[in-house]
Formats: sequence, structure tokens, C-alpha cells
Amino acid sequence: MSFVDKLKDIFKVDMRGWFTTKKTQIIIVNNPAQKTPFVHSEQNLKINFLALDSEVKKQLQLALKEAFDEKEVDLLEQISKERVEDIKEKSKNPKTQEILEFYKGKIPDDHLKALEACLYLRSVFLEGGNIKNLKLDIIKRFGDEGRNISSLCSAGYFEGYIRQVYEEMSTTSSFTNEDFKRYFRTIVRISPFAIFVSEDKDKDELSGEILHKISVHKNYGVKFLAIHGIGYKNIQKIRKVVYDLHQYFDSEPEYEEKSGIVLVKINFK
Amino acid sequence: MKTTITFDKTLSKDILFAFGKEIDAEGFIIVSKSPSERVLSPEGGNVALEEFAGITQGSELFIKSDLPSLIDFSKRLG
Repeated sequence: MSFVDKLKDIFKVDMRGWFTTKKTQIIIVNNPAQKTPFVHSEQNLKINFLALDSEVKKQLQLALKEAFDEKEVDLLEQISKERVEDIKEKSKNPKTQEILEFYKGKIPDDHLKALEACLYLRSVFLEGGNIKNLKLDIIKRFGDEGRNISSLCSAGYFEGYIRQVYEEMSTTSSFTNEDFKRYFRTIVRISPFAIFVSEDKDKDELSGEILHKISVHKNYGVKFLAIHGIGYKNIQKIRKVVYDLHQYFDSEPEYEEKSGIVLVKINFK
Repeated sequence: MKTTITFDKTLSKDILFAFGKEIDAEGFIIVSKSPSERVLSPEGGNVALEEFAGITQGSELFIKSDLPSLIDFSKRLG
């Protein structure tokens, strides 16, 4: 007996004709303003648990359990259902799909899951949605790495710098995905203390960002900053800007260059 | 085709009761007939009432309401 047939038995009403489309939802509500046990429309059937007597409540609970055991239904809380529908909708975005497909197999699985959650977070933010609790969810599941991936994602680094690093690294004959995974883990770990430079960042922006980061770091007692760049033009850009800002540094910047990627470590008072 | 039945969050305990579950003193969902046994989420952790989002197949998987859990659940729906 289907769940709808069970409802017919419980409420003594033939409801089968009410479910004319696959989108008709069944919602169990707790509505003191609704006196009737159920209200139906083309979109949904709302069963008001509060308006049911104790015997009918038990019958409904039994029917739900039986329908679940017969693999006919799942149960989901209303707000979570809305969130799941939004997740499914936003996951269809071609740009999101492309980014996740690109990084699949190239970054650790856990980081890929975190990235997926962060891309959703970013899309909610861009729509003007409240992301505070969603971000806490990410940090709770993925820790500091989740927080850092969120920052990298919102700053567009997965479309920019990180992708360019992969493309640069993969041109070398000895390249393996493990090399990239190792560097990616480093990026995630140090990102709060680092600036990543790619083509879309001009000298003025870079200069401003370095000074801003120095100021922020000093507030937290951090006395160093790492700048990462890829490609000849970006490396030259970094060298020029770092030279122009040398008055703000405590010592000579330390340069390390390998496979077209430069790492500059700056110390300040 | 499987239907997802939606319920108001205030009815979580009533839904859990239908599945032979209740809440322990620390707010976690437990098996009524075996009170020392807390139910697990797909990730293997205990599920507090406040973070309970629903139940899906497998045999009974208790879904949490945090974003990563709901993303995983959305993929199960296909």
C-alpha cells in the first residue's frame, strides 16, 4: 500500500487525485492557526500535526515509518529542504561545474569537498544572502583549511592564481599531480599570511595589498609575509614592487624561484 | 519514485519517535530501545537534535543540517 493510500485510510479521504504532478509536496506542519487536519493545493498537501488527535498522530507516524521502510519516502526538515533545493540549483552553474571538474583528482578529496561548499557559499554571498552560519559549517567540518579555502575561493584564486600554477607546473616534463597537491596544501596552509600574484593584479594593487597585509599582520603580532607569483611577468612585477617598498621591511627580502614560481619572504618590525 | 516528505523543525522529536528514536540528556539522538546507542550521521558522528535535518535510506541515515552534509545529501537525491 502506498503512502498516499495509507493517508486515505487515516483521514478517510481519497487523496490520490490530489497528486497530479510529480512536484506536489507533502509537508507536515505545526500550525496553531490551521484548525483543519490538512490543506491541499496543486503544489502541496499540508498535514497539520498539531490539529490531529493522538490516535491519528500515531497512525501517521506508523505510516511514515512503513513508507520509509518500503523505500518510498525520505524525510527532510523544511529549512534544510529549501537549502538542498538551492544547492542543487546552484550546482548546475556551468562555471561551478567547470571549476570542480578541473580540480577533481588534482587536489585532495577533502579539499575538493571544501571547495564545493565554498563555491556554494560564494554564490549565496553574491546574491546578498547571509553566509555566517554556512561559513561556520565549513570551518566546523574542514577546520582552518576550510576557512582558508573559503578565503581563497572568494578572492577568485581558484580561477586565477592556483589554476595558473597548475598549468605552469604541468608543462615541466617531471610533473606529477602529487607535486601540485603538495604545493596546493602549502597554499592552503599559508594563505592567511600570503599574497598570490597573477596577471590580473597590477603593480598598484599589489603594492596596496602588501601594505595592507603588513598592517593587518602587525596587529596580530605576525612579522612576516609571503608573496607567491608565477610566470616571468609576474615575477618581475613582484621584484619591482618589493624593491619600491623596501623601506617598510626589516631586512632584505628572501627570494626562492623554482619551475616558474617565485616565493618572496618579507620580514618587518 | 521516492518522495521527500518535509516536516516542520518543531516536529523533529515526533518524527524521530516514529523511528524508535529519542533524545538523551546531552541532546543527542539515541535508539529508544538501546539508550546507550547514539545514531550516526553518514560521516560517522553523533547527531544532536538541533542539527537534525532528516532521515534518508541506508538503512537509516540521519542527515545533519550543516552545509557540507546537505551538499552530500543533495547528490544522493540525484
